[in-house]
Amino acid sequence: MDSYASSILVSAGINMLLALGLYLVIRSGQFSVVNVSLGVLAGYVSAWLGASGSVPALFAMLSGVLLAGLGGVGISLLLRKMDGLTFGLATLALGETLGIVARLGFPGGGQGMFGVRLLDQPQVAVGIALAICVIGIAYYERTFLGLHALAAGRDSVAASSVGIDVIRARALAFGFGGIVSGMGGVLGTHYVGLAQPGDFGFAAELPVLIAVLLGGSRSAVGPVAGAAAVMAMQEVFRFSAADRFWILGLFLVLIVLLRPNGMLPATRIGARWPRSGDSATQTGPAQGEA
Amino acid sequence: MQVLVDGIVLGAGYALVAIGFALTYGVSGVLNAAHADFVMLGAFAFILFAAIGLPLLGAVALALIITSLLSGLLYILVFKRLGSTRLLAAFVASLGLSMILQYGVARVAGPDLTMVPSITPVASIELLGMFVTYRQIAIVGAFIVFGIPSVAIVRAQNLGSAMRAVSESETVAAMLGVNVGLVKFGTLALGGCLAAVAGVVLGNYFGAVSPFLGQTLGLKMFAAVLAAGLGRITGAMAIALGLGLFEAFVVRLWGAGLQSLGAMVLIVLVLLIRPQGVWGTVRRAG
Repeated sequence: MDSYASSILVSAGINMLLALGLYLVIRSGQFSVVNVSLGVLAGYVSAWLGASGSVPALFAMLSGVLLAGLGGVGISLLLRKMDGLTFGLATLALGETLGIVARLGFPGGGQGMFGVRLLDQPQVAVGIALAICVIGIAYYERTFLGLHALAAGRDSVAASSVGIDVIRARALAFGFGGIVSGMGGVLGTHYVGLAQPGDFGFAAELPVLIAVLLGGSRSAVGPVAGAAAVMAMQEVFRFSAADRFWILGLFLVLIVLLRPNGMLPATRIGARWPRSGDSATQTGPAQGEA
Repeated sequence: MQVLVDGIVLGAGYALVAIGFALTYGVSGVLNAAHADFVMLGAFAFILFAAIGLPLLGAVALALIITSLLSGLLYILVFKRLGSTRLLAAFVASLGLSMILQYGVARVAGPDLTMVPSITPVASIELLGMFVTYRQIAIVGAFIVFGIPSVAIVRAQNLGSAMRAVSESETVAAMLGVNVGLVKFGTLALGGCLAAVAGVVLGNYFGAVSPFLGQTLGLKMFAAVLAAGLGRITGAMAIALGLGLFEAFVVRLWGAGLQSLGAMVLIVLVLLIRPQGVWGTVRRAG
């Protein structure tokens, strides 16, 4: 396989992992924009532990992933009383805060950590991680835990009235989402060989958020396809680095205008155009303007 | 005592930004994450108009008008289409708008700092034994002339009651003859105007602005508004002032590197102790 195709595949796989992590969190009704930052945090931990050379690389990577998972549980519990909008704002603030903390106190400071150990076979590593996550998520979605998270995402009041522990289901969903995002972040850090403070915050989240909104959060297929589509779009149009973010921003606004319910869990693709007899499957706020 | 002056000045600047953000949310329900980027936009609009040779005062006035109109235009182009129920969608759209503004301006003006033409003399005067520069006076003056009246408008009769009615219930307000769209447009435009005022006086104070000014400023704005409770305009103003004072003390004690510490500590404290904000009311999760 030539190196161009290989690099595309690896980047696509990493973006799919990040999108799946975000999908798990949004699916449970928690609109987070901090997931990629959690992944970057995991990458930092792995790079820092790995740099000492005293622990095996795999152990360093798993520590990062685990920390991202615990971070997810922690954020979910911390923000459990917030409604959707405040939750989003708080996660936005947390992501930006991580960036500032990283500039001040993380190894490498404002420059970031260079020379992070590179993966020997990135395609294999990303392939294995993606396979684990897809199988794991497919299983999770069929367990009570996964169904409870989805119920909490669709209507938290109805869910708790039938005895579902919404806080627990959401905390675990954010934990699993953190683990999956953590895998993406760790692999990304070791693939690029660089962990830098600029990767925290909303800009890095942008392509992943677009992937999830584009693909829809009805099933895990959506975010994976969405990540592939965002990747393909970037390759086809080949925007310069300077143009990349404003174009992605414009794209996000257009997606929101076309599919305004896309950030709610389990919205069917094309839900803006309901068919007759479809009203029962509509989720989220009323379609018409009040 | 000098640190008190610095704190009040910073706080007045933050308050100008936070008032606009809280006002927009309070009346229209739109959590406009791009609000802090309008501060940057106001400063760059001023730089542009000054560069093409307009007199400074004219450049300031034009920058305020253009930024207000652009902010109002956002309502017509984006938020109005999303309706009044899809607040999360509006928030996400505003995140995209924030990226467009930051990276769009960086594309046009360059990603580095751009010098801001001075609107005040660099000199300082002595006031009650403290040295106050004209640049600092400009910020506090802008807060008094633009910030406080904006808060007062919401509490006032006619216009304010229309705003509060829209905030309370759009349907009922519309039935009683309030032009809901116009009120929302006006609120966003007012928010944009306040942001532009802050952009001009803060840019004048710091001497240069970056296209990414909105990122750190946004964090402080979010901290103040989260701490006050969403939509609490006076509360957000008070907390922004307090945050400025706190930052000035932190900078005096430990240096400028830790300036953003206050906002971070505030966010974490609020999340741990009182997630709904100091003056906020509990709403159900979800």
